[in-house]
Amino acid sequence: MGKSMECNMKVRVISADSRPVEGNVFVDIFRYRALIKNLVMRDLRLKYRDALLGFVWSLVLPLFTILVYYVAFDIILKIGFPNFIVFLVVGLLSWNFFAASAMSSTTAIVGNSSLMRKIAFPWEVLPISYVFFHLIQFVVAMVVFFPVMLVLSSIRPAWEMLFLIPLLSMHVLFTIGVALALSVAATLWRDFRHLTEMLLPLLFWMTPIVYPWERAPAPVQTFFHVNPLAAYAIAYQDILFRGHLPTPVVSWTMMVWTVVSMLAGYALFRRYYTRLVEEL
Amino acid sequence: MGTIAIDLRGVSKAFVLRHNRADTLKLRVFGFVNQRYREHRQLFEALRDINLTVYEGDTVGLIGPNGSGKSTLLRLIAGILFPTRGEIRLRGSVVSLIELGVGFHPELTGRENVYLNSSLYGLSRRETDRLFEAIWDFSELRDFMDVPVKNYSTGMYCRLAFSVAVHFDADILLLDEVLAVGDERFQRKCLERMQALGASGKTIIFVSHSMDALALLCNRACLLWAGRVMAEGTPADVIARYRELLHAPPEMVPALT
Repeated sequence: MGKSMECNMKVRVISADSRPVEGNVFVDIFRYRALIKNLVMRDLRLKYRDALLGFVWSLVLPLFTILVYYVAFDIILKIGFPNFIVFLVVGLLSWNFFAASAMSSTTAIVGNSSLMRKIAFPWEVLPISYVFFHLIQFVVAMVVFFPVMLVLSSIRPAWEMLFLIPLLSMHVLFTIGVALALSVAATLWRDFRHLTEMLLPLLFWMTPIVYPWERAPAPVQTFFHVNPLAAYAIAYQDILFRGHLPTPVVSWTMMVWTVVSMLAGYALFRRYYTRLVEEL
Repeated sequence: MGTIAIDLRGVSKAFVLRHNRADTLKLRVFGFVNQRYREHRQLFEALRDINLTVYEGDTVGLIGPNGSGKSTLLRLIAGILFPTRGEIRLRGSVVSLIELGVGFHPELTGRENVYLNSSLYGLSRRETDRLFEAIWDFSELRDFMDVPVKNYSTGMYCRLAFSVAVHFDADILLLDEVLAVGDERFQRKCLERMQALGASGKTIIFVSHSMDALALLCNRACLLWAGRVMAEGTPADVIARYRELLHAPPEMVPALT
């Protein structure tokens, strides 16, 4: 057969177990960064379109939740402590980022079937774009609330707060891993969506977000050592509220779980990649 | 014989058809109790042992009745679906235009949709910036650039979508029935654009039921019937064979499913 294919251009082979587009997941995702950005912008534009307050709703809603817990715990139950509201801001905003990302990742693939059926692109982009969508709202809320809280409370800026940047980066990676895994799982078994919705509140109360971890009974405290979300909540509180760096135990828990979640998310995606479109 | 752009070797694609699909636990339980709700699976072979070689610069028309596997074949080449058996070799970049305006959102403006749509094909912001003027010139919709596309007429919507699509600079273009766009004048413009793309050395695979468009645009054609390649050659020969099969008495024709 005349000239064959090995000239200057790249040859791609598609077979039963290949990946669409180029091959390396990191290269693919970087190449499609414009898509991630456009999907995030689309969702931000659409979310509060026509609402009078627009993006301000992204701030009002968490603020209101924070106030609800403040009234319930500090004013009614009187179990608050100095600077309780700062404690709530730190814990609730970071939890919201994770929980909202996890929840929306369960529809990341099922809800975008119209795109996936017609264009081949690295499908990991879909859950990842939802994580960034919630990340932006988290960061904006922190940037707006935290300085105000610093002024109103007796907490002073400290150099430990700079640790927020690596902490947030790791938190994002952890959440991306969970989102990748959940998006695939919820496509193959639709129950996962409802299961996630059901388990998130349980996980919320099993994580020291609206109460300090020291107040929990000893067996629950042991659970905090293996619960990645507890580790993240405690780390945010350590840096921004207690004013010290996270303890080695907390840091290790976060790191190990972040690696586990990234590997699991990647492996699950890789394993079922070629089946995803057929399962829609 | 030039360079091979697309090479399919023994490609088969089977789908699992799931009747009474039991996605949820509830349906599984019902299925266990009552036979009527039980999920049963059936293997459907959409494509069987396809061997097809397309050379660089060819425009190949894919024809065949509904359900003969044309779209499945296109999706396999696009990398949306994956073959059950066999291998597809592609030389160069591929753009699949299986539907126009994929990802277009009615609430976004024309400009926003152009950027979203092209990023779905892997274009960076800067690459889209470079194509932007040409896209709007081609679409003749410049005045509506910042209007949400929900306010576009159907024809305008399609014109914009087609304009974006034909400006992607890929080596291999996969087109599925996307020619019927806009009024007659714009349709002619689209056909001319496609001819120009073919003449510029791009490899095009083109699925259509319009024999006129096929005869005009393609230098080769391939007839799919019940998931197999029934004929391959010049468009005139393949179209003749297709008409023969369509009008033949049913018992003379291989069953479609």
